[in-house]
Order: sequence, then structure tokens, then C-alpha cells
Amino acid sequence: MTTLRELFAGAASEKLTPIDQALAVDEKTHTPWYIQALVVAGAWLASLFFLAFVCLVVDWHIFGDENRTPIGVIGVVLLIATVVARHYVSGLFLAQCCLAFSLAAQGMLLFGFIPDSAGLGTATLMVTLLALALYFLFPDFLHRMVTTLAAIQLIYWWLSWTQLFPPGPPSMVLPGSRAVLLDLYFLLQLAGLLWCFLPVGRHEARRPLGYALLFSLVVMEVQPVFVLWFMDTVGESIPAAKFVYPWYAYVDSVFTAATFFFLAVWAAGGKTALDRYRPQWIAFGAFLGLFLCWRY
Amino acid sequence: MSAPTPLDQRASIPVLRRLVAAGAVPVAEGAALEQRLRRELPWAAWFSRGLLVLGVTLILCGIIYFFAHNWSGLTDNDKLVLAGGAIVAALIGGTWLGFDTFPGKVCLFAASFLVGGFIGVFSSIYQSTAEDWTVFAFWALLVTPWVVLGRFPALWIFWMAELNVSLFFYWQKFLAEWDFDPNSHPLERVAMLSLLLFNIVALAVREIAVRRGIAWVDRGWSALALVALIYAIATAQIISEIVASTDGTNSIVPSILGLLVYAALAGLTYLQFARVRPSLPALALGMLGVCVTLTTFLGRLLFADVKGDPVWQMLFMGLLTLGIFGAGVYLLRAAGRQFNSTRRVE
Repeated sequence: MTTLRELFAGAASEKLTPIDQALAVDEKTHTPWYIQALVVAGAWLASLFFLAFVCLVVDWHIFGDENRTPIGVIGVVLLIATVVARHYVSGLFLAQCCLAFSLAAQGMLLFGFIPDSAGLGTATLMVTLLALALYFLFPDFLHRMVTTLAAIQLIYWWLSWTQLFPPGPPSMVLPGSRAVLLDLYFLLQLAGLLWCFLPVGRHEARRPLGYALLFSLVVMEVQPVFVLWFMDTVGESIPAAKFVYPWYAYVDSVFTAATFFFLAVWAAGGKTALDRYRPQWIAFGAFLGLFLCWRY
Repeated sequence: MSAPTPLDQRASIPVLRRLVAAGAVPVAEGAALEQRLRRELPWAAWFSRGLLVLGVTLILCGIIYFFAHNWSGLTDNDKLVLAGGAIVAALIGGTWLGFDTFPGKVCLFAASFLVGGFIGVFSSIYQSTAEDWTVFAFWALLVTPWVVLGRFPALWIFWMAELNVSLFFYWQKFLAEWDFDPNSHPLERVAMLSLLLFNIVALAVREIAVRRGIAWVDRGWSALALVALIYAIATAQIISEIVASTDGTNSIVPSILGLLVYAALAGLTYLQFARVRPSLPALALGMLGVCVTLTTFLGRLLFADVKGDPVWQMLFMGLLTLGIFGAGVYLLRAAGRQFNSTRRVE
């Protein structure tokens, strides 16, 4: 374990006294994670009550019916107010309130304006457009990551289930063209991931997208394990959906999990952690190449 | 020996970045120090341990899935030999690696986990009238020697989880359904209280062991896991008491008694983790439970006799929540300052 004293002892400017003072100030002003957790819990709970209050006042008392559209209108107004407010507030508590309000407002907006009859495509389009707009308008790491992840995953589900191709007999073996499309989507996400983390220099704005892509890829690749487990457990009762999955799919998921575990370590470490400009680069390329060979 | 100063704390990247942001360290020097710090991090050990844990988890999942998938195609002897063989293999691996090493401990953990698989296979082949709680209790009993020998906090927590599940199933056999309504099922109260006491005793034993200098027990997260479990049980029960006893049809007495018990629990937490062995994270967990309980209690009182939409009650609840959690954060910060000043004086 390296102490701060040892770390600063070898530094070019050994400003031990001012650093000592700065540390004492930091100790007093810095909020540890567990207090931050309490602040976040309070902010979210209070936000839910305030949100319920706003909904009750505006919807039932002003519009006075059970139409869904007023909820959507409240969502739009609330979202605009939250986006504006987020630019003026600082501090963890208010930032978390804004996050809670924004996510709730987006939920209300979608609930209010997407009728039940609309397909997955409409919801995907709206969520994607919202995520895209809010990525620039709402400067919050978690918000960006959550909305982007939702959009990426919805696109994946839309590509998986929508009738892009002529319907065939129900089977776990995906039609060839859809499988290729999903693989292209996988590669697109992988390229996005590299674009977020590879370039030299600090690209803070790309990091939420990068982590969203990382989570999305992991979810996308690891889920067959759970789907298989589920279908083998209850599949007998749904003969039409009986899965026929090749044996290597099991290994594929495990291999993918290991790949992304490596990638997560590498990404979390930043540019210097694994000294990636040197042989690790080659190792990473080889690992990725091996993975792609295995997959195709 | 001189008193430790802030410079004697562990060097970490977040602290370094805060110093750069505060202007105490020049940006370029901060970047160089960060690079040096990253280089000195035990990446290899962390990576190796992470992959080991991931690998063992996947192998264990694979074994369970193997049995589930091939159940009908295996003879009884195959099933028993394979399940038992996996335990033996894990034990041999652990012995070979040494139970004092991390890989050895992980092997022991895997062996303990596989005992459950073996019991499951055995009880499926030789159908008996054994109840769920006895299966878990028997599992915990069988692995007890390994848990004692392993001196591995993760294994202890696993063992504790088995006993908790066993206790839960024991009470469940007397309950037609577990609906968190102590008025319709008073036995739920006894069940939750027994679970609570069991975990409090476990935490007390752990704390005594730490005080007696048993070093391997002294892992901060194991105490936090127990505190979290204790507060999860206590908070779930007190919320069900509050909801059940303030709706105007039932007595409020159990709710008040429950609050008193909860207050005693909070007091004990404060004594242990503020006076005896200071731990701000443990106090924060307790504080989170207290804040949630208070919010529920006041909310239930506020919403008790509402006719129509609870419009203004929602607004008051928002404000009350802010007040309660704000007070909690203030008290925790005060405790933190007190810990720091005590540390300096010492």
C-alpha cells in the first residue's frame, strides 16, 4: 500500500506543507460514498413525492379526467423545466433530484403520447430521439448512460423481434438475414466502444456512451445463457418456441463474458493502467480477433 | 509513535484528483503522480483474482446446468458419482493449493457450494419426507468444519446465508402464506424476530472476535454485510407493522412496540459503531434504515384518514422526507468530524 507521503516524497515539487493543509480541508469537505448514498436515497424518495403531488394537482384537479395525454403534457413541461434547472444547480442532492425528475418526466412523456396500439418501433424511435437530444442538453454522467443504454437495448429488441423479414416457422434458429443484422449491430456497438475509449486525450463526454455500450454488449452476449436456462426449464410447455441452439453457443457466451470482463478492466483503468500503447495493444487486438474468429 | 496525519492515508486516484482540483498539486505533476500510482497498483493480482472468481462461478453454474440439462439421460449412479466427484475434485484442488492461499479458499468455497448440489441430487434420487429447512440446515452442518478451517469471510457469509434460509423455511412451514401482514399471520412477527436475533448474535460474535485480535475476521465488508442484513430484516418488519397497525382497524400498540425495538437496535448500532469500534459506513447503513422507517411511520400517519386524492399530503411527505434525510446526513457528518478529531488526539 502506497501512502500519500510516499507518493509525494518522490514528486518534483515536494510541497508537503500545503498538501497537508489541502488534505485537511479535503477531509472536512469531501463527502464519502455512504453519505452520498444517503443523500441520493433522500433525493429520489422526496422527488417521487413531489412528482406525485405535481401529477395529482395538474392531472386530476386541472384536467379532471383519466386521459393519458395530460400525463404526457406534464412530462414535456417537467422535462423542459428539469433540463433548464440542471444547468443552474450544483451539489449531489439537487443533481439527483433533477435526474429523478428527468427520468420520471421521460416515462410520463412516453406513457402519455405512445398509444397501446403503437408498436415497439414507435417507442424505440421516441426513446432514441430523446436519448440523443438529452445527451447534449442534460450534462449528467448517469443520466446520459441510462438513457443511452435504454435506447441501445430497445433498438436491439426491435431488430430482434420486429417483422423486418418474411415470417417463418417459430424457431430459436434465427433467420440468416436477421442474424447478420444483429451481428452488424454488435460490431457497430463494438466500434462505438472503441471510439469512446481509444482516442488519446480526455473525452469525458464520450464516457457515458462508452459505458452504456459496454453494458449493452455484455447484456446482449450473456443473455443467451439465461434464455437457455429459462427455456430448458419451461420450454416443454411451449413446444412452438422450443429452442434449437448449437452447442458452441454455451462456450460463446462464456467467452464473450470473459472478453468484456477484460475490456471493462481495460476501460476502467484508462489510458495508462495497462500501458496499452505497448504490447497490451497487440494482446487486445489478438484477443478481439480470436473472439471474432470464434464467433464467425 | 507520532499521531498519523492525513498524509499517512492510502494514496488513491480520487484523492489525488481532488488535490489537483483544489490547486494543491499542479495539473502536470498530478497527471505524472497518477500515472505512477496506476503503475504501482496490484493489477496482476486483482486481474488474476477476478478471473479466478469469474471462472469458478462459471464452472459452478455449468455444473448445475449440466445436471439440469442432462437429468433424464443420466443414471442414478452417474449423478451421484459426478456430484460427489466434483466435491472431491474441488477439495483436492484446495488441498493442493493450500487453504491459506486465495485460490485454495475459493476451491473450498466451491466444494461447500457443491455439497448443496450433491444434497439436491441425493434427495431427488432417494425421495424422502425431508423438509426444505432441514436440507439447508443439513447443508450448513456438513460444511461447518470447512467453514471453520477455511478462515474465509466469504465462506462465513455463505454459511450464514444457508442458516438464514433454513430458519426462514422452518417458519414458513407453519405459515400458509407470507404476506407481511402481522395481524393476519402473527407468527410472521416471531419468524422475523428470530431471524433478526440470529443475525445480531452473529454480528456480536464477529465483533468480539475482532476485539480479541482474530485478524482474518476483520474484513470491513463482512461487518457491513451483516449490518445491512439486520437492518433489511428489521426495516421490512417494522414497515409491515406500521402499515398493518395504523389503518384504523388494528391496534397501534404493536407498531409502537416495534418502533421501540427498532430504536434499541439503532442505539446498539450507535454504541458499537460510534463508541466501541468507530465505523461510519456501518452507521450510515443504520441511519438509512432509521430514515426509511421514520418516513414510513410519518407517512402512514399523514395518509391514514385521507378522503379523496392525497394531494397536500404528498407535498408534506416530500418536505418531511427532505427533513428526515437531511437530519440523517447532518448527524453522520457530525459523527465523521468527531471520529477525525478523536483520531488526531490519539
